[in-house]
Amino acid sequence: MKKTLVFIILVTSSILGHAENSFFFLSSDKIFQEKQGSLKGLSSFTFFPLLKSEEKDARKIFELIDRELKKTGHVVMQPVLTPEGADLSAFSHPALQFSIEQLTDQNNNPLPVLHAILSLQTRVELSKTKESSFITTNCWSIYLKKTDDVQEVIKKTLPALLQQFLTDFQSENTGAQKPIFYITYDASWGTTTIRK
Amino acid sequence: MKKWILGLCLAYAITNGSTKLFANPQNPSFFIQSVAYETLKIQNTSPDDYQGLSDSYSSRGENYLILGDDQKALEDFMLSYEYASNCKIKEDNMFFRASFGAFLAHVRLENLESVQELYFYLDSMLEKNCSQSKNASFYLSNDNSNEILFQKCRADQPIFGPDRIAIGECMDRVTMTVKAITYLITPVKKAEVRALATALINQLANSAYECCEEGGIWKACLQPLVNKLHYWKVLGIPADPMWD
Repeated sequence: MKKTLVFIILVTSSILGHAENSFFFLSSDKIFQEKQGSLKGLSSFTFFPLLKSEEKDARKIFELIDRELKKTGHVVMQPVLTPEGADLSAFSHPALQFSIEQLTDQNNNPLPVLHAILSLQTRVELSKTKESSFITTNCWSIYLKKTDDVQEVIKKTLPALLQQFLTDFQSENTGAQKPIFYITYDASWGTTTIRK
Repeated sequence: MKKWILGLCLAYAITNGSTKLFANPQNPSFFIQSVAYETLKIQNTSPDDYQGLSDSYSSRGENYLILGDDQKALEDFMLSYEYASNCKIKEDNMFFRASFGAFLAHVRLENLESVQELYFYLDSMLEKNCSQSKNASFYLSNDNSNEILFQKCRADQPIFGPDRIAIGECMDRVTMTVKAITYLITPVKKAEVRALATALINQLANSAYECCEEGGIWKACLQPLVNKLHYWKVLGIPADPMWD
């Protein structure tokens, strides 16, 4: 009986200890991993962010992401749109996508929780049908308390997600090998408006 | 494609009869006022300002067309064409605007010979302008004719790379191009515009996937998507992406 009581007290205090701020589970330290496919043999990735931001912040966000990617791997700027035409050669690599979504409840009402996701999509051959398909093979994510400051969310989540990606990447490839990130867009892509 | 545009105008005009094309505007007083305004402008324009007169006669002709006064519209478009001919620098867009207006007026007046004559003339103008224009800089007015010409002159964007790639790679490039376009449209604030743009891109992507699967030339499979990516980046997302 005493043991049970002590156990209950320990568990309760542990939960309350973590719950100093009510969103104790919304922490950038906690990375959720799903769909962990193999990263073996992969070396180059085409990076896409899917973020909504104000026009004035577009350049800062672009630079922020660029800085974080450079800390993790080699960044190659290869614009898809050039004055002479379209260069799609960087589109042969797997896609590494970073997005921030706001969670909703079952009635589609927004919850005060954001979900930052780094996902890898690549072409794989399905063993049963032998058909190939472009699917999400890896996914790392962090939940955090909602804020409207996109830059703050990026700062809180992207470094940790990229670090986890790098750890997984290096564990399946030769030690110190660094991934190559292809960037096919520029800062002006974050300022698209509706044509008058 | 050029013939398609003209053919569509023609078919629309004929099938709707002379009363439905532009006629019966919901707010005729606005167009009546516009006619009065253009008339005043014509009266106050210097007789040697051929460009200004051509512009004003075309504008007034368009308002007459909307009001259903086809004969007056035709007269104004013919005057507009005449003034355009007197300009020292011949502007194709002025000729096109006047001729296109006259074409519509003739359609509604059922002057079939003139319709046919103007059809071939407009066709040759489109041919000439589209082959010459890399950076279309047509005079934009409140009529649709220049917009149509501008749209027609959007050339296919060259796509670099080898002529042949594997089917899987073709499909990957479709997927990635869609991702790039999705990234491009993400900042657009109006949700309905984003939704329509996404729907259109999905349609184009499905056609591109089919094209890749059937072993089509990958550059041709991707061309519509690449064009959208390029023009939406350069010009912005259209308010109604389905009609872009």
